[in-house]
Amino acid sequence: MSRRRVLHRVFLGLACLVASACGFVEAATELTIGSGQLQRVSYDFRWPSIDALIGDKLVTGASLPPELPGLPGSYEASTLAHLQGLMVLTGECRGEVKQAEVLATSGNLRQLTVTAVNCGSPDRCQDECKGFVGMRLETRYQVQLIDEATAQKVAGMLTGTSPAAIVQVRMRFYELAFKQLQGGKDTDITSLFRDFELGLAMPDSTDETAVVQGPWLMEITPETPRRFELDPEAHVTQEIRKAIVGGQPLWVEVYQRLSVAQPDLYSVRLTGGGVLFDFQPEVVLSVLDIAGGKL
Amino acid sequence: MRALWASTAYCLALALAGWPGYALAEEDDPAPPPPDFVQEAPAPKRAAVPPPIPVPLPAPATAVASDKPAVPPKTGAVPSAAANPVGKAPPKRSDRFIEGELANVGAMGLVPWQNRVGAVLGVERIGDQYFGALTPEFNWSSTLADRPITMSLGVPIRLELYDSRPDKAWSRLGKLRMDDWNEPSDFAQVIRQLQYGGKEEHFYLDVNAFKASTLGHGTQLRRYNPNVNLNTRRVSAQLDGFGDFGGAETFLNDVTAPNVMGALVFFKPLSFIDRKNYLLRSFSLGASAVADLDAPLRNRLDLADVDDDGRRLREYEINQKSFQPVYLSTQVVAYGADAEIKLVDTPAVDWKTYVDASWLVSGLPTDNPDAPGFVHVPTREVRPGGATWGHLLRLNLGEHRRHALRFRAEARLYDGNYLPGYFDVLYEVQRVQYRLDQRWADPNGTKLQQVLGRPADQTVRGGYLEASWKAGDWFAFAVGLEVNDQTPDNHLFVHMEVPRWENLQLLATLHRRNAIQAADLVVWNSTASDLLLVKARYRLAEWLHINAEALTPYGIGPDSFFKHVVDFNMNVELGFSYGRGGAQ
Repeated sequence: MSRRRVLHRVFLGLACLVASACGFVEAATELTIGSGQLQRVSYDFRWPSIDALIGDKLVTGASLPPELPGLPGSYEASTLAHLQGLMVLTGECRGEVKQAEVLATSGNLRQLTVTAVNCGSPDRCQDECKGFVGMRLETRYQVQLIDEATAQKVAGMLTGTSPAAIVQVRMRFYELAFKQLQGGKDTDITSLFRDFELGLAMPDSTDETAVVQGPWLMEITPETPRRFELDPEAHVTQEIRKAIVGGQPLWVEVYQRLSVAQPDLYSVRLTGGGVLFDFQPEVVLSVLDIAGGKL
Repeated sequence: MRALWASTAYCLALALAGWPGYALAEEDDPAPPPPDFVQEAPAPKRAAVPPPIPVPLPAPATAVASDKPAVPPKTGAVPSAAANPVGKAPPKRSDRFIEGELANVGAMGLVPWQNRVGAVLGVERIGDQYFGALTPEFNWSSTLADRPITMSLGVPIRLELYDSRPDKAWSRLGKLRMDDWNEPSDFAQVIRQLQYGGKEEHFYLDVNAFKASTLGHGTQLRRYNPNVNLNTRRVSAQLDGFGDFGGAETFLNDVTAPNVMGALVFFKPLSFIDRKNYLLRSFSLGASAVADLDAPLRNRLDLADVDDDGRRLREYEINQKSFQPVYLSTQVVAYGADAEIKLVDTPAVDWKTYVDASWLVSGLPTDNPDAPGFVHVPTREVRPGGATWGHLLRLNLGEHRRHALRFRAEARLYDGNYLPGYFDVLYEVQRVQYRLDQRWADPNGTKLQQVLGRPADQTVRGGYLEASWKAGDWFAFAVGLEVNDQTPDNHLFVHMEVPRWENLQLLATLHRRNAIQAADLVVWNSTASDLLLVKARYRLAEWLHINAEALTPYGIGPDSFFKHVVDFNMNVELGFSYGRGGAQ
């Protein structure tokens, strides 16, 4: 065999080695866009004061008398138990307050809606309470997931990419905790909440997808950040994919639902309380799909 | 602990069942056998001439599986007893009637055709991790006590390349995978193949890391390959011992920690009456059992997100060390009885018929399937069964039996929640995830629940056809079809094999499994239950070979399901041949 032929064969063999393992190439080119590329969403916002929640801002059609014997003129230090009592007085089982502007220490938030449902007695709000005794709360607000600058930056990286190349959208939570002021400092009261669910929807859409549910809420700490995948079939996930590859800023609606059992109502004060919310959006891309989409 | 006992029992079986059978046939039989027996017995130890030259080829095609053998093997090239008296040379192996499987259907590896020392360089995947692999290998074929022996050993050394789990990526680049060598059982992976004796001869031992196995007629265990799940590296073992009046076959899916094991025993009561009459000589009664002592009953979901990918309810929990699914287990046992007899027995034609009756027994959960529990799960016993009537026709044609043909046809009748050949090609993955196209995690999606949990009231009618052809030592082809009138268990396989042609060695199998209807078996589109195995080895230079493979692996992927993609892999083999098989 000639030397040239041998060299040719050796070259072929080495080329095979270099090109080996397509599976490896596929996995190794699965790309996560997250920290450093997508903005980390972090905020600490406080609930509206209880004075704002009650009074004439209760969307009940009813109004409280200006002065009610036995009740304080301000509810600054009141608890959920007091709120429940006031709702009994008004005869309503559901109260709702809306705020177009939300004060947060960081992050872009808007359109806060807080809904309280009084499940204080077995014959109230049966459709919503389903036998639960206590209060159910729902908070909805809009969060800017991708701002203009980030959208442009990421879109520049993914020119010509199909949304299908995004194989996973997920949120990595560093903190998701409920706090209230006690003795001048924040105290974590997350453990008082039951049936917790945090989810996402597109603004003005009723198609919700749950992201974090009760059992996992307590696992999230700054020391033990946890990831949560968005349902790949959900409407909001599809919209996030489109926005990322299309270079569009994106607002999503976050909802949080929780329940507080009757004995714990006295431990939860609205005034001075709030939620700490810190997560890193991540999208996982298949680079092979990206390449395929460009071909 | 259970696995340890099973291993011990198997070793005892090896010591007590196999070797005495060999000794009885070869040495302890003081009475000279009748002439017809002398004519047909291989009697290699008494041979006055040198034994057949060992063929350092990949595993003999008869090694994968067989029916109960018609001992002794026929030697149609020898015309009469007088022409082959005691002490004369046995017929050449190429002249013997080929009775076992003709092709290595479903095998996942090749053994070099030469005695060879070398090393393979390539990339391997285990779960979410990818490794650069260096595997020094040693292959040797010879004879031992006048029987062929083949040994192929390899020592995989894996260096981590990439970890596709979140936040890991290249962080451990170049680190040695210590998990490969931190347990005693890890050292079994050194064995790629150790084969001694021959299928359907008096003694057969086959310890290997890539072949598929069948027990008896395949009613319970058919073409089962413990390495279809590519996240496992198991060394399985078959041990057979056959005598004139009976015999046994045994199987373990893992020599270090078996969970699937089986045994078949048979005896030939009418051989005592007249061994000259092939009808009496071939009539046999058998009993067999196959068990999975660690059968997944219910899969655990990744509620704790152990792989930190954010998926919890949508994926199975995967052990992050072994990359195996985590599940609640129980036992599944298949057992049965059979009878067979030869209808035709000539030097060129061998036709037998048989009947099998088999049952599956296990427990099904009785709790709420929508709120599945994992502690003290209540179960109810199920024991479905079925019957099979089959024919096996074997032809050896042409000069020196150059062409061997083998046909099998079976008619089946069984309960709706029974499945013939329950331990089958894809059992290793379907035991966890019966529906391989499913991309949502179902705790109750195990094979045990999905098959034995079906309605039992309707009787299923089914059939099985298989044909294979082997031309000398250079080509083999096989095709099989399995259909029924009710359940999505229609199967097809096509297999082609070139043990060696010029510089090429090739093996290709396509299994199409679990088609809803028989007609779906022949549609062009690939399905999630297709198993494609293509392995090729090509000699570029004496010291340089390339190995190429196209596989549809059922490894656990990043989404924690048994993923179905086509992988093309190539690696380089450096080394040199030596000895009798060298420099061919």
